[in-house]
Amino acid sequence: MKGKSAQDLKEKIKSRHQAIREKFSQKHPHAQSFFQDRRIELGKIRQHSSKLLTAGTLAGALLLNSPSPSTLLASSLSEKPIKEISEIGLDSPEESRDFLVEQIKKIIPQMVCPLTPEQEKNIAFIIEKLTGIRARATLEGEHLNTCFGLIGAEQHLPRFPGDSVSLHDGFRRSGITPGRGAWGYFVQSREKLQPDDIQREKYYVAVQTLYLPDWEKRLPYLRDWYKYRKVLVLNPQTGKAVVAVVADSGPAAWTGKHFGGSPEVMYELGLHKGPRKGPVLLFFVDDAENKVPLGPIQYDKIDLSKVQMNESS
Amino acid sequence: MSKLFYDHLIVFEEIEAKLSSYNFSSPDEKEEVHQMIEESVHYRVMACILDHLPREHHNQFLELFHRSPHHPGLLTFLKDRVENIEEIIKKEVKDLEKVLLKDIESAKIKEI
Repeated sequence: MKGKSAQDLKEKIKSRHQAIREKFSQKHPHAQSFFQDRRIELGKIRQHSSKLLTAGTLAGALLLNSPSPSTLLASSLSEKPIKEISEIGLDSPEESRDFLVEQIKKIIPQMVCPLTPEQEKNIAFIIEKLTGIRARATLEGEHLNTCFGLIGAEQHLPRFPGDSVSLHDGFRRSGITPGRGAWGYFVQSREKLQPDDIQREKYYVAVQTLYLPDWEKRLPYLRDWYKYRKVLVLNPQTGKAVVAVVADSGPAAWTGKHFGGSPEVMYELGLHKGPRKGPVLLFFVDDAENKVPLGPIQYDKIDLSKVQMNESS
Repeated sequence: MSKLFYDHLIVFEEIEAKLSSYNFSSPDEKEEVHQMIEESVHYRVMACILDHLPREHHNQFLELFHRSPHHPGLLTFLKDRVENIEEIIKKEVKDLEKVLLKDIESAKIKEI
């Protein structure tokens, strides 16, 4: 079988990258020195920015004329959604999805962007109240760069060496990636494939671990922590939601997207047609006992009488 | 998520599609290529900005940028000093995309 050489591609991109860097330092030596003096690599400015935002060192650091959208929205937050949920009680499951959409729309900004801790907390509360799933923006101290971003369609992932799209249950037209996901094969051979592995590939997401501010520094720990980490992905426009696992990293920032979704995830979110991308909320699932099944949230099957809330969490 | 004030001006959908057909030897190799493209974008965008921004504003801009690279006010700062800066950056990004696509398409065919 013939294909394009990834090695040759890498060399070409490397040469281009070096030429661009050299041209920059020749043309703008003062800027090159500026970044060097501050020990900042311009190429890694995204990670630098994530670090600043995470550390919260921006507060009051810069007085520019236009405030950020998230700052403007933070001030308009209220406790009203939480009070309203308390008032409606727990006995109207068929209305849960519509109510969830209505309430979340009141909290999130129009454009995707990082949410404030208060917005995240309110959304987590609403999700838990209406689905029974303990969704958390921060879990065990870990937090993605954003919980509100654009998700784009991904291909199937090979589950074992030699896996092909014809061996997958559905969405075969989506294709399969030529290489492994960021965490490798799900199992080492077809014989070892278990129902759990099949479900993980069906309902997987890609998240931008690469741009986490401390990814390189804490790589061994974070790589394990994120592997098959359970998340809840919610389409805030429709309320369609799916529980999935993190099984790949990406997409690259220059795609304009923040998350990737398997063909099944995109289908369940109602984002499998047209541009095959759209805004979603993505929260970790606090499920230490591994009781939350992967797959779509079926609001009509949720027994809300069993949903217990813990406002302090 | 906007980590950089110019993020909304960069979308390389075609590059993403072309790269998805490559069989990288490992996920790390794929990430490495993605990262080199990412870095190329930052150098080209910054060079483009500095090419058009009058020299007397360079230090102030760099200072603001390094302290808060995500801040949308940076674009306002540039717009006040450079006419059509958004369009200029978009064009620069488009030119880079063309060059990268050419590199990607010219990679050798081999047995895999």
